[in-house]
Amino acid sequence: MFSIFFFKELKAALKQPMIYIFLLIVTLLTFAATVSENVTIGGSAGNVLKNAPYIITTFTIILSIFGLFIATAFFNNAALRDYSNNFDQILFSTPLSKFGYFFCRFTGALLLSTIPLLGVFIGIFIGAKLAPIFDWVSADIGLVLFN
Amino acid sequence: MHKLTINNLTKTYPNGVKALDNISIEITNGMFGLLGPNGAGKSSLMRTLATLQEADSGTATLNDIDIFKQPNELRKVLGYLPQEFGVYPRITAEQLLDHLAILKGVTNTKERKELVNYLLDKVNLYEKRNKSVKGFSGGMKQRVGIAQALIGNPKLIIVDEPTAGLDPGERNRFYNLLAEVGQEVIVILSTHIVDDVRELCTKMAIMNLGNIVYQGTPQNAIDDLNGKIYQKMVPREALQNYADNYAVISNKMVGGQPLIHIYSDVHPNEGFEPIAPNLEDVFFSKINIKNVLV
Repeated sequence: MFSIFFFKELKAALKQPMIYIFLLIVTLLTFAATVSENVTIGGSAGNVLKNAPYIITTFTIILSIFGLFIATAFFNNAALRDYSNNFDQILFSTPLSKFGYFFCRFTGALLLSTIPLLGVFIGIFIGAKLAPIFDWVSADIGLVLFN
Repeated sequence: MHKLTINNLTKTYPNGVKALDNISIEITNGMFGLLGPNGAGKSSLMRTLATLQEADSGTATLNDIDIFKQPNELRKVLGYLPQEFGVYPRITAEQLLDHLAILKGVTNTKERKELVNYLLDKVNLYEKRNKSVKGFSGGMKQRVGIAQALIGNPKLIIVDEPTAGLDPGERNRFYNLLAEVGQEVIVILSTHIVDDVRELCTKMAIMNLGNIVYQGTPQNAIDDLNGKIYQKMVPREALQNYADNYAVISNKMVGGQPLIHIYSDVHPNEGFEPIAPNLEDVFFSKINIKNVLV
């Protein structure tokens, strides 16, 4: 029962635009910070390579804080969906186990709320590939790829 | 033969409202009508039996399942249609029933698909199975509700004011369906519509202010009042006067003039004419014991 509901949970959320919008926002933010000197996340990079592991870690940490807001949206939905849709009476009169219900919702929301943060890596990856091609960042302040 | 026994059930809400006051009923197979005015405690009783809330004291057992001690055992054999319910947005009738079938323990995919199709067919929604339930009309939504209550061969079906907002045609279809399944199991139907009970139920109880004020068959209740109900058209100004002098159980407008029904052991004359009592008279005579004008 747990696995059926867990996958249903994911499927339902992946059909909604919310998760893709968050993913896009995070991707665009890190993309911009990678390719432009005017956008910085967590202080300017200075003499460090723009896609250095240190920078990636900083981006991840800073955006994780915003990730909390994203997580709120998913967990709010997971916890209140039955009540806000007025479905709770039918649901709780079925022989549903507390453990299955709670953890299927919890792990579902946990996994879903991490997906938008993947945008950090997508943004940096795309940014680091495109910036040299379009010459967005001059070589002497060092967009040198960390390979 | 299934048997639901309720003993001395009491529930007082935190705001001081005594919703259930020492209720004891015994219900066996068939349709059982629970009649009562709004706020009588019908929904509280239903919700308690559906394990959605707990009582302060008292016991309730279905066969040998103790409803309060083994709620999960009861839920396996329970079909519950709440007074009001909503569904998740964008879910279709088929998905909804499938979802609930898993919850009720039908885990075999093939078996579940057959069950869902059977139920959709039974409530006449097979053609609409891929449409969103949110967009259904009141009657169609209610039929989805009864379909979900029938999942998993329930022994106890509780339907709480199921026909509120249905047109007469939908109401009849709904009751035909319920009567069909109600042969073998216990169906508890709560309503404030007197006609529903008369048409459908073999047994009934009348509830008022958290108490059971009558319990038995509808026919017995009517027979008890035989020859004791009189009616008269009265002028509106004289209404209070009649209320002071007679046991007025109901007054309603007929063609713009009040028609009163009174309860009396002897013929009151004064232009009153005896009538054959109906269930509505029973209802009013049981809940309107102080004989005030309503």
